[in-house]
Amino acid sequence: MPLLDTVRTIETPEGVSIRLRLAGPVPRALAWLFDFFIPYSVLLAASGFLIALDSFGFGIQMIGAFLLTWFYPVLFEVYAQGATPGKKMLGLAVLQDDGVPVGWSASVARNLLRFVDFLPLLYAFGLCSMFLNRDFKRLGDIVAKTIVVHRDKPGLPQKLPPGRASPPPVWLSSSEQQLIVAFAARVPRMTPDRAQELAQILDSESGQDNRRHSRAALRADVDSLIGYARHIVGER
Amino acid sequence: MRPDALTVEIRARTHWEAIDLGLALIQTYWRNLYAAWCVVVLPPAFLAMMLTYLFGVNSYGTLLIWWLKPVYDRALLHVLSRAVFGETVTWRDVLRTLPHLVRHSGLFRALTWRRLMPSRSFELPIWQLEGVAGQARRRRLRVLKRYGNGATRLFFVCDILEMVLFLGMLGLFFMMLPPEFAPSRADTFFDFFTADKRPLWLDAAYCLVYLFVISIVEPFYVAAGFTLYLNRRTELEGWDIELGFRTLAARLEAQQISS
Repeated sequence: MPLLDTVRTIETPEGVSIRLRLAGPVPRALAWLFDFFIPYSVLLAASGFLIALDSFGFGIQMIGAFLLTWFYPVLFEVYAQGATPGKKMLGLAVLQDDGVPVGWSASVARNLLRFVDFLPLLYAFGLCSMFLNRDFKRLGDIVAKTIVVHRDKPGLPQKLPPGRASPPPVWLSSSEQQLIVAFAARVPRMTPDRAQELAQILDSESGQDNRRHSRAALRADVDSLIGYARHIVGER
Repeated sequence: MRPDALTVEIRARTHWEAIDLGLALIQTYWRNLYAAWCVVVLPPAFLAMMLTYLFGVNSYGTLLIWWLKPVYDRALLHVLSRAVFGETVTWRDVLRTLPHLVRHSGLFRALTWRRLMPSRSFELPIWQLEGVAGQARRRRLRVLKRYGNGATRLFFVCDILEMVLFLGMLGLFFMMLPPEFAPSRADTFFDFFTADKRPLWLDAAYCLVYLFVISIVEPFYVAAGFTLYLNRRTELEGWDIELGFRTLAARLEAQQISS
């Protein structure tokens, strides 16, 4: 059984696989909250001036509300990399199911169907749909064949602790190099015991003997690994 | 605790992603979860119905169901914490471990002065699974809550979701109600529920709607708190790095044997 995750891997026709990290109801609800309050508070502020224009101002206000309701999300999704201001704030974006940017027809469809998701009150149906759907889709997403994904990366520390750079004695693939850099950057937040325990994993039993005979083993202590990491990021 | 025994992908996630993983957990293990849920929720629900019947005031029954949430949380976490290691927990197992859970997970405190704590579900694994107490537990809580955790925003949003669903379902109920059943002079939605002379079944319906709503939101709140906790430990203890290092060590070893 594959390990449980919220990632969907999509294979492009060119044979490249991309990992999309699906976004669930909690960040999306908050994004919606921003998208609701920002434009409507602008409209409310504007109504202070429009009220001076009497019924003409009221008409303008109604037209503004209409445009905001129906076109605000569509325009942003099509022209701003699939993200309304609220989604941008939460690091989310709308994509088509196959990972390409969302187009006019899909964006219009998913935003028109907001009204079905909104039933019976405040998106209760949309919420139920997200709970039941494996890709966290609301009804509008199902019809328009769109998904909402995370753009933000986890905010882990990137700064390496001090140490002397030294080249790793064995060849490392790029993902293995990244792993060692990630380890070094996270050492300051770990307990010293745990950091040492992790470093020790690289010290395989055969590595113990071989170290005396050949140089083809990583020195498995925290300081050496930090040294390798500093070398990998380009320090000499 | 071995991260490589988990049936959940271990990687560094944002708080939001960790919360979403909680939903994925529910979608995968909903059968066991809801079996456990029924075991712990049905008796209080029955009691709440009796209270409604005897006193005719809906808030007592609903309050009871709300107040006992920490009890349900413990049963849910028990199922989830086994499920992520690939173990299945049946409702009988839950019934059997319930006395243990009641005694050894700080339930009294959870029902009294810690009841309103927003990070309830994030802290629950420390109380229930880690088996630490006193000073050691305080230290653990401090360590895990350092550098920020998503627990408070999870609580905030779950609260909103609960309200949304509650109003939504009441709205649906009201829409479907034939007019001759509505109490006289109930002009609006809210008049209807705040009227002085309500029929008894309306109080019962109110209680049941609340029960339905927490049946959706509470398992999610607990699961997302648990995945936030797992994410925090992944980050602090480098579980993702441990898995990567094991693969790297295996590759280096194979290389040395072949050379």
